[in-house]
Amino acid sequence: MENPANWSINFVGIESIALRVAVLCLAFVALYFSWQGIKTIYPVYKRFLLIVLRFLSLFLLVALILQPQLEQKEILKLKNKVVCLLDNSKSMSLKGGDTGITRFQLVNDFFENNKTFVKQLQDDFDVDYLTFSDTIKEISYNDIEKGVELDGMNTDLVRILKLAKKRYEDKSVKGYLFFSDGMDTAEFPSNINKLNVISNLARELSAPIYTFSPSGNMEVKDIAISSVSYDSFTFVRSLCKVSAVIKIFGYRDLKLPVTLKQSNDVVTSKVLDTGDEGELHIEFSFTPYATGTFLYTISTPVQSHEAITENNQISFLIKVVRDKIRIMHVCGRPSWDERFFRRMLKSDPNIDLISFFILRTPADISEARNDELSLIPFPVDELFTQALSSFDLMIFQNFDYRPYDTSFFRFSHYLNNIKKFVTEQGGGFVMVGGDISFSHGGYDGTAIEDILPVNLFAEKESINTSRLKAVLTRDGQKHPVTMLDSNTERNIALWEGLPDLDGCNMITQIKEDAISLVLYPVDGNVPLISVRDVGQGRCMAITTDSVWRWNFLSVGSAGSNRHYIKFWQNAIKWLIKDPTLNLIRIYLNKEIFSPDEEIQIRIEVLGRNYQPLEGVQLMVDVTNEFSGKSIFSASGITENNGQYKFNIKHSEEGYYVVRAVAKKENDEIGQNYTVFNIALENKEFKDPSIRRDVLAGMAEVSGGRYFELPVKNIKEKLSIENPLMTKLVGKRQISLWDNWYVFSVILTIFSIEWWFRKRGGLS
Amino acid sequence: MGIIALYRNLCVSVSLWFIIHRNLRFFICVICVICGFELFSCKSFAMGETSKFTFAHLQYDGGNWNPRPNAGKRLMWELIKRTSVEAKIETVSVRADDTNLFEYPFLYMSGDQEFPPFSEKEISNLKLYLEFGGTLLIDDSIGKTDFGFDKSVRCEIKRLFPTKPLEKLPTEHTVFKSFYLLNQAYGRIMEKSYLEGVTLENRTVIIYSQNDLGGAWSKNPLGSWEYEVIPGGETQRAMAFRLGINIVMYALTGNYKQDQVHLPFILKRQM
Repeated sequence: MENPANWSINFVGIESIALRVAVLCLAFVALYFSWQGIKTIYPVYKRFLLIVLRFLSLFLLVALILQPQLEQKEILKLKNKVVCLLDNSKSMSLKGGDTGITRFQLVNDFFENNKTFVKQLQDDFDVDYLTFSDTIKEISYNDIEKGVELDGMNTDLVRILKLAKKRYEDKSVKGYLFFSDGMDTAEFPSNINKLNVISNLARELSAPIYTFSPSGNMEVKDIAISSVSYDSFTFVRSLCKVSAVIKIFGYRDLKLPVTLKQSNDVVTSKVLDTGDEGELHIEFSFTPYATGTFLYTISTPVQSHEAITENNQISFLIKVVRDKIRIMHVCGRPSWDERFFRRMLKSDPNIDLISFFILRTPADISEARNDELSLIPFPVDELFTQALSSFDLMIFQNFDYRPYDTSFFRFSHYLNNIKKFVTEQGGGFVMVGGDISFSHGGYDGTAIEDILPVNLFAEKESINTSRLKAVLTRDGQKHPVTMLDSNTERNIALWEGLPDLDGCNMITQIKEDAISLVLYPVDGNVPLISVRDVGQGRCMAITTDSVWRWNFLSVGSAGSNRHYIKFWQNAIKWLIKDPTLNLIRIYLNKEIFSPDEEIQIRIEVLGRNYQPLEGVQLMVDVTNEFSGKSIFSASGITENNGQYKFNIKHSEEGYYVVRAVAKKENDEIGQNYTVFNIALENKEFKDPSIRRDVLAGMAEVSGGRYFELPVKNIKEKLSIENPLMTKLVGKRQISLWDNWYVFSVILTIFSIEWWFRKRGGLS
Repeated sequence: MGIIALYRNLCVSVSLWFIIHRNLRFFICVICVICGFELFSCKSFAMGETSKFTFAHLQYDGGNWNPRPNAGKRLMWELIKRTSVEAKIETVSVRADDTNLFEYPFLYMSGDQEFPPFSEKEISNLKLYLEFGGTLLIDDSIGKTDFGFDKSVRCEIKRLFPTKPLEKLPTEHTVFKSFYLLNQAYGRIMEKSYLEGVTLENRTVIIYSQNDLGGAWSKNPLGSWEYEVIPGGETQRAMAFRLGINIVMYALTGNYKQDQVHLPFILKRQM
């Protein structure tokens, strides 16, 4: 940088040029008339002296009017800028094809092979070095020599160009050297052309961009599952579709198996014939049969010489929920119990109800031809084989199966299907009492008895027709099925206020692992409502056909049937294992964590009465979903609020499952699990192609040039304009008239002329 | 003593054998009756009485609330015989302001003359009853529009549901296909070929017949029909029973026959 000084004279008295000229003209006119007045004076030396004096006085007078100033300016000569932008995203660490060198190594080689150019550049220009991915960071030339860390997880060229524009808005940048693979991971709305946006921004930088990208032989060999489309939640027992885009780089004619897994279980698999295609779309369809949050993975095997193995699989969580509760209601005969129950079920928009009522038995005489009746055949085979698994809950209400246990359709076989539906598929089953229910329906010794909460004894079982009030048991006081009010005392009072029932099936023996919630206070305290967890599913037995009285008679006495409705809603929720009723609940502060971020885990344990359970032994294990490797395990005891809390940290990315098993006195209370993800958002390896088109476009629109690395002797191929650039750093002004000696000279001149005239006798 | 006893026993046994042998047909009949009774008693082995369908007759002040006292009993007899429904043969009568009204979700109201307006208590109780699940079958025994019983009934329905007038029930209504497939209303007389009703939230809570259904159902204790059915004779009576059973079935199963699973079968049979 040089610092030269410039001198100049200014006239500050009159700024207008015309006025200045007018003043000079007037001065000459005055000098002319003075000459006319003295040209006759003799001797000549007097004439000459007078005219000189008059000229000097006029000159000084003009100087007074024009007010001349001397100005000294200090000018700074500046260097123009050149900006070197170096892509330090992860994709720059990819090795090209069979070359064995990374993309960024080519950038390093550029600086190594063109040291003279770089030195000349640094001498002639002010060079800024910046690394970029989704933001920019200033570095020095020495940092490049030491090695740039390639840790950018995203590349956002639009953002980078905007940041560069803002940073160098008022700077004299004469060129950008842009080293990148052109890969941009930022997502744009489909209606916006990203290339156009990048081109416009490149143009707005107002300086040529010289772009450098790895050459053709640097293309990687890779198979990438670049994107997956799925619904983050779906409905149980409904077809779910997942589609993925698979990009193929450097491979041809592969038979590529693609697999969809739920955790480690294969759901479905397809083999793709890749041919010459660079991009393939694949769609999987599957039907989830359980509710919950599940981890699904689409994967394809790693091929030989693949640059990136991480992008050969992609995982995602799908929450499987119920759309509607599907209930099959089979009723042995129309009754008020059936009527009010059906009405309640039909009025609930969340329930999809399929009903089958036996309106006529073989013993009935309808006195009409079949075509005069609206009766339909009971589609037993279809219902209890094909369609059974599509239901959440099955209700047998006062139904005797034996008339349908024919040689053609063996209903007794269907009872086994129902048992499997409950124990293996997690379905719910309710048997409602009546004169053709329980033992009177022939269920003793069948598969149905195996799952019921009560034992059946045909020879002992009778029907009691006493009109009595149901009595809540101690377990029933807080069980979700019988919880008509969250306050226990109010709940007991509500049950005491329900109308009397009208009899029950005298079933006296409840199974050991069943819970009696409500009793019928006849001899032996018959279990009126009892529940049981059996296998994967749940069962309930109601040994009366007069529960309808809690509905209609409550309306008559209290004007409301809400307790009846609440009871059945509770029962259905419990029977279908509504997740909100799980006894073990695991809460996380969020679902996706960064590596080493604190994960707060809270486990709540409820008793079978759904109250917080203190002193429960919890076995907690946090494992990697795929490898099964445990990253944390602990055992703890719940506090008086039924909770156990702990925090963990983990650095390794992946999906992890928190499993908690609760035990009290060696009896398992229950277990639950939840899934979380530790992940850095890395989109760099989804599509590893080099986007030369992007870089060439940027160079073209900005007036620069596109180069493919490696490049040697760049100084012969690239010249950057370097115009002189100066800057005024200071100035000084010296007034030429506004001082005492100017006035003294004027006074002296006028005094001499006066004296001379006086002495010479001139006027 | 032993020989005498043996002789006596032998005599009794031989006498019995002779009696049985001579009246074999009679004894076979007795055994059949006992077996039949046993079978019948198995079928009626229900829980408490209110679990069975009960034909409750609405009793009201003034007029004639029970012009066909044997109608309900006969309908129940037919209901038990023809369907799987468990019903009580004996009917009960209940007032609208009775606390026991809600024991009987099905109510039958009949009459043949004008009656004084219901009390406010009766109206409010009946309204609650119908809104929360009760069904009321009204049967006009004389079938004269805007006269006598019909006039009073329409007046009381207006008091019950001021914004829900009686409407003609279309032939597609579930009441015409809840058990038998019917295409019009029947009764002792054929005053109107349709039924009227009040429907709340897709459930017809009041069904009104002006064809004297009870008259067609009535049979005296000696087994004779009490009233002649005109103009259709016994066929019309059979249809009246079918309609009665359909109404009871509708009260018990609601719109069950509107479920999607039934539609193809019913449409095929109606073609």
